[in-house]
Amino acid sequence: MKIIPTPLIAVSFLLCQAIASQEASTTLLIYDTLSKPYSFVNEVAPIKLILTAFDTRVETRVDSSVTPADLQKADFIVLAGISGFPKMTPEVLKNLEISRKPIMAVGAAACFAFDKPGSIAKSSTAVEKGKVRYRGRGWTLRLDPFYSVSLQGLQTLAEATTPSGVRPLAWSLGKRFGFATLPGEPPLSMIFSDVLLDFYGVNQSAKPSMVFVVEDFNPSCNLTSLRRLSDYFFHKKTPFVVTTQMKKVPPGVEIAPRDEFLDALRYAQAHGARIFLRGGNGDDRSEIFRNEGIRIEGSENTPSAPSGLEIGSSFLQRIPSEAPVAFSSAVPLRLDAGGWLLPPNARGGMDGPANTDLLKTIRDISAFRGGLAVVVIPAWMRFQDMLSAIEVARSANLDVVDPVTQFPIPST
Amino acid sequence: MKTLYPSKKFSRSAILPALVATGLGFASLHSSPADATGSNRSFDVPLFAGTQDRIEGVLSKKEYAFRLPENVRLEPGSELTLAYRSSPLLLPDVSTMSVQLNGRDLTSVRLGLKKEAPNSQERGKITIPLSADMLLPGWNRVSVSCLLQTTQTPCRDVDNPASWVELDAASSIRVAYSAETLFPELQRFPGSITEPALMKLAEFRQSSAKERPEPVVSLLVAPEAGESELRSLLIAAARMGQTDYLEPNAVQVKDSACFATESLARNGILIGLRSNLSQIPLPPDLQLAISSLGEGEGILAEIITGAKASAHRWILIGGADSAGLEKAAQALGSEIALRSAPSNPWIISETPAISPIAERFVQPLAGPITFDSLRGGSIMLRGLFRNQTSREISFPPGYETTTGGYIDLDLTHSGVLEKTSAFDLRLNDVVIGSVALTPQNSSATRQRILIPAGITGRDPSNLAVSSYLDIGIVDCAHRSEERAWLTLGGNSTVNFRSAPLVINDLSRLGLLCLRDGFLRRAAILVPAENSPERNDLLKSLGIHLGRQLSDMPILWPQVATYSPLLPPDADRLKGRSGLILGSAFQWPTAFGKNLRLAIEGADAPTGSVMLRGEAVPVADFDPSLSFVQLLPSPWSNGELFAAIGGVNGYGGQTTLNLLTERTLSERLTGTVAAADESGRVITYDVRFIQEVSLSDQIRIGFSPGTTPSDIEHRRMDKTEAGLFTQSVNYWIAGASFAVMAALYALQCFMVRRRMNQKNGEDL
Repeated sequence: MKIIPTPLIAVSFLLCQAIASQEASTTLLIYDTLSKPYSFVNEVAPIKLILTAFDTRVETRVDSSVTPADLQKADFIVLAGISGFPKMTPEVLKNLEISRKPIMAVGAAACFAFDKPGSIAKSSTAVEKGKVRYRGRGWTLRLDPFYSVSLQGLQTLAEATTPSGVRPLAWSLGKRFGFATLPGEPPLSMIFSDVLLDFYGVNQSAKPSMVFVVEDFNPSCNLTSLRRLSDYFFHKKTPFVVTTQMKKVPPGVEIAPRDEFLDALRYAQAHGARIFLRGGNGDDRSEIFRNEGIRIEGSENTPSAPSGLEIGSSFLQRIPSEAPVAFSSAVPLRLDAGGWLLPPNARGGMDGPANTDLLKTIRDISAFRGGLAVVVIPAWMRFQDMLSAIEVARSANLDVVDPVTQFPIPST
Repeated sequence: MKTLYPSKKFSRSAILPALVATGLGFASLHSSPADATGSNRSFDVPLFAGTQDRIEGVLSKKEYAFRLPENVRLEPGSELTLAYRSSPLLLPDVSTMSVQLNGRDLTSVRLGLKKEAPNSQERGKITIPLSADMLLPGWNRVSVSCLLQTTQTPCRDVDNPASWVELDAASSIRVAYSAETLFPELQRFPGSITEPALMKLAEFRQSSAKERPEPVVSLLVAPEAGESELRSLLIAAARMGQTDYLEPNAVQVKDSACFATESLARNGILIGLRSNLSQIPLPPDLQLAISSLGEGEGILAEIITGAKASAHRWILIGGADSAGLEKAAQALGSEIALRSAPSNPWIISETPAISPIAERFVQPLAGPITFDSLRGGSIMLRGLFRNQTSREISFPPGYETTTGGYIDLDLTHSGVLEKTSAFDLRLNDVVIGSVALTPQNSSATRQRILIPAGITGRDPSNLAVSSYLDIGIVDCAHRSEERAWLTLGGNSTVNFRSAPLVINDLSRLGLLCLRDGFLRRAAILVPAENSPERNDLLKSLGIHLGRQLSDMPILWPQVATYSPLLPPDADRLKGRSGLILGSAFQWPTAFGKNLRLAIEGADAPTGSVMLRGEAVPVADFDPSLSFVQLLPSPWSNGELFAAIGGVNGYGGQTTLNLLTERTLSERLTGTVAAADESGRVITYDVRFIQEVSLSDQIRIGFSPGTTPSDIEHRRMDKTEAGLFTQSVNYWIAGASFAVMAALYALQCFMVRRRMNQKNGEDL
C-alpha cells in the first residue's frame, strides 16, 4: 500500500488500514455448487463479493478441481458448502485437514470447523423465525439452510435461537471458523462480513460512522432547501455529500435558472458539501461543473467522474437471465480499479415509521466493526422532511465522517 | 413528479394580488400550550381579515392566500373550516361550492334550501381534515369556486344580486405544528427573523393602542447610537419590511443593554460597535471574533438563544468602527451578499459589490420586449364572464412613464363572443386601455394601446389584463368554457417610454425616498439627540420602505444626524433625496441659518412657530398636528427633502400616517401641508400667491368642528371657484382680445380709407 504524504490522508490511512492490512494475500474460495438443490440462486457470488471488502486476491475453485498446490498457494481458505460438503479428492481433503492456514467453513461445510464432526447436523433444518444475535444487536429472520451445532467447546461469535434452543451461527475454533448458514442477504451477509475480520485477523479500530448524502440535486429541486440544509450542516460542523446532475430533469417540471442552481451548489460546497456526480456513463460530465468552480469529488451509481470514490451498490446477477440486484453492505467495498464504494445502506427522509426504520437500520449497521451508515436523503423532498430524517439519523450518535478524507483514493 | 414551489417573485405575482384583495389575517396562536418538545401545538389562520367575505356572481371564484412559517414542522391534525351562509334563493340541485387547497380538490358541497326540508338553514359549516403534506411552508392558496344559480333557465345574469355566498369569520385553517431545531441561516434573513409574526399576525393588525401584543422582533441599539448604528437599524427594518406581513408594532426598538432578557424572549437584531458589544453577554467565540476585528471591518453573525422549545434567533450587526459597522449593515441589506455568506460569523472587510446584473433590477424596460420574454409568456384568458391575469414587468420605482409608449397586442379570441365582451389593460392599477371584442378582431389582429404618461413604477410592476367574455345563452351547470377565450400572443410587444421620476409637490411625498429601487438615493435626516420616538419612527419608516420594495435584492438607505452643535454630514446627503425628521424647532438646525423655512420654530418670540413669517404661539397648535414641507436639497442640486414632524416632537402617529397611509398622502398637494390625527389635511403652495395665508388656512382647517370632509369640500369648492375664475378670466381675456382685434381692424380700415381719400380713389 502506498503511503500518502498528506497528513490528513495519513490519518485516514491509519483509520482504514485495518480493513486493508492483508494486502497481497490470497484467499482460495472452494465451493461445491453455485446453487442449492432446486434453486437457481447463485449462493457463491455473495460470498465472493463480501470478500472484496478485504484487500485480498480471491481465487475461486469448484471442489473437484482443487489441487494440493492450490491449497499451498493460498493464505486463507473459504470452504463453502452450498448443497453439501465440497467433494474434494482425499489428498486435498487430507491436506486441508492438516492445514494450519485459517479456514472459514460455510453452510454445509461448517462441520469442518468443528472438532467433533459427528456432533454437527449433516443435513440442514430451515428455521423460520430464528432470533439471531451478534455484537449486542438482534434480528429475527429465516435461516435456510441452517446446520445446527452444539455450543460446547466453541468460541461463539454469533448465535441463533432456534426451536431446538440456542445454537451457534458463527464460531471459531483455533484458526477454523464456522458459519452455519449461507450469507446471501443482509443482515447475514453483514454478519459474515464482520466475522471475516476475525478470520483475516484484522484489527478493525475504526468506529462505526455515518455519511449523509443528499441525493440527486438537480435544477428541478428546491434550491432553498439545499441552501438551508447547507446552513444546518455547517452549523453542526458536519460534512455531507450532494450528488448532482444537470441532465434528466423530468419533462414538465419547472427548473431553476442555471446560475442559481450552480450558486446553490457552490454555497453548499463552501459550507462543507462534497459534490458527487450522479449517474450516467460516457463523457466526463464533471467538466461542466469544474468549469463553474465546483469540485467533483466522486460519483454515484456509475463511475462518470474520474475518481476512485463512489456511492452505490455492487450488483449481483444471482439468478441467470434476471436483472442484477443491488447487494447491501455495512462497510465500504473496494473498487476493482482501486478506491472505495460507499454503500447507500440507509435510505431516509420519509415521515413517521420510515424514520423509525431509518434509525433501526443505522443502529444495525453500527453493530458492525467499521460499519458505515450511508444515509441517503432525496433532494426533492420538503426541507422539513429532510431535516427530520437527518435529525433522526443523528440521534444514533455515530460520528459523521467526511468521505473524501476518510476514504482516501490510492491514486491521489 | 417533483415540482418547484413558486419562487418568491412568482408567488408574489400570483398570490399577492389575492392576498391584498382578500386581506390576509392570522388569528392568534391557538391556546394549546407547548410541551417540552414543542410538539402538538396549533395556530389558527383566518382565511380573510374582517368578519365576513362575500362571493358573488353565478360563476364565481375567490382565492385566499396565506403564508406559513418555515421554521416549524407541519404535523398531521391540521384542518380547514369553512363557515358560510348562502342566498336562500339558490337552487339546491345545481348550486355548488368547491374548495381547493394548493390546487388539490378538498371537497364540494351543494348549496341552497331543499324543498323537502323546509326547516333546513342556508347556513353551513364544513371541516376538512388536512394531511400533513397538503400544507406547505411558505405560500399556500385556498380556492373557493361557486356555481350560484337561482333559476332553472340557462343563466345569463352573471351579476344577479341573489347569487351569493358569504363566508364568515369562523372560516379558518387550524395548522398543527411542532417546533423545529433552529440553526443559523443568515441567508434566509429577513424571513428567518420575522416568521413568528405569521402565527399571530391578526393580533398585530387588529391591535388597539391599549392592547399592544407582544412584539416578535427586537432591534437593540445603544442609547448613544450614532449615524452608523441608526443606518444599520434602518437597513434592518427595511429588509424586514420586505416580508410584506410584518406590522410595525410587531417590532420594537430597545436599548442594547436589554440583550440578556430580550434574547430569551423573542427574535432580534443586535446593533453595535465593538466598544458597545464588549459589554454584552455574547457567546465567547463571538466575542473573540468581535475583539479580533481589524480597523474598518464589520461582523455579521447569527446565534440561537434559549432551549429548543423556546429558541430564538439573533443577528448581530457589529463593527470595529463606524465604517466596519456600515459594511456589515450593507451586507445585511444585500440579499445577494447574504446568499453567498461564506461563514457564520462573517467578517466583512469590503462593502458588498453590486453587479451589473443586480443593477438591472432598478432599470426600467429598455426598448420593445415581447410577452414571450416576460415571466408567464403569452396571455390566455379562458372562461365565462370575468377573468384576470397579470405579468410582471421591469418598471421599478424611481421612474414614470412618458408619452410615446405603447403596447402592440397580438389579439385573437373565439369569435363567438357577444358584443358585451371586452378586456382592459392596467399598468400598476391604472387603466391604459380597453378593447371591445368583436367578430372583426377575432383572428390575429394587431391592436395598439398607448401608454399614458405619468404612471409611476412599483416593485413589482404589473401589467394586468381583465376580461369579460360572454357567449350568450349558457347553461351554467354545463357550461362550455372552451368557447369563451381570449389570447394575447407571445409576439405582443411592450414598448415603454420612461424617465426618472419628477417630484414637484407633496402629492409624491411617498415617492421621495423611492427615487432608486435600492434606496441608494434615499436619506433620512434625524436629530442626533437620542429618543425612543426617533428610533421607533425610523423603524416604522424602514418597514414601510421595505414593504414597497419587496422584490429588491438590495436596500441601502442612508441616515444622517443633525444637532445645533453639529450640522449633518454633507457626504451622507449628496445625491440623495429624503426626509428630515424632527420638530419644527429642530429643522432649522438641519439647514443652517441661510435658509428660511415656511414653517419653523422661532427663538423669538419664545415659544412660537413662524408660519411664513407670522408668529403663532405653540400653545395654539393641536399636539397631534404634524407639518410637512418640501424643500430643495441644500446639499445637492436637483434633490429634494421633506421636513416632517410636529410642533415640539416628531409628530407621532400623524407623521407616520402622512408617510405611510395612502389615503392621507393622496390628499397632499403643494409644498407645505399639515395634518392631524383625525385625518384633517390642509395644503399650501409657497410658489404661488395664495388667497388665504398659511396661518389662516391652518387655523380654519383645524378649528374645532371641522371634519376632514369639510376640508375636502372646502378644497373642492376652492378648486371649483378657481376653475370658475380661470374660466371667467379666459372669457374676459378672449373678449378683450376680440375687442382689441376689432378696434385694430377698424383702425386699419379707417386709415386705409383716409389714404384712399387722399389718393383720390374711391372706396
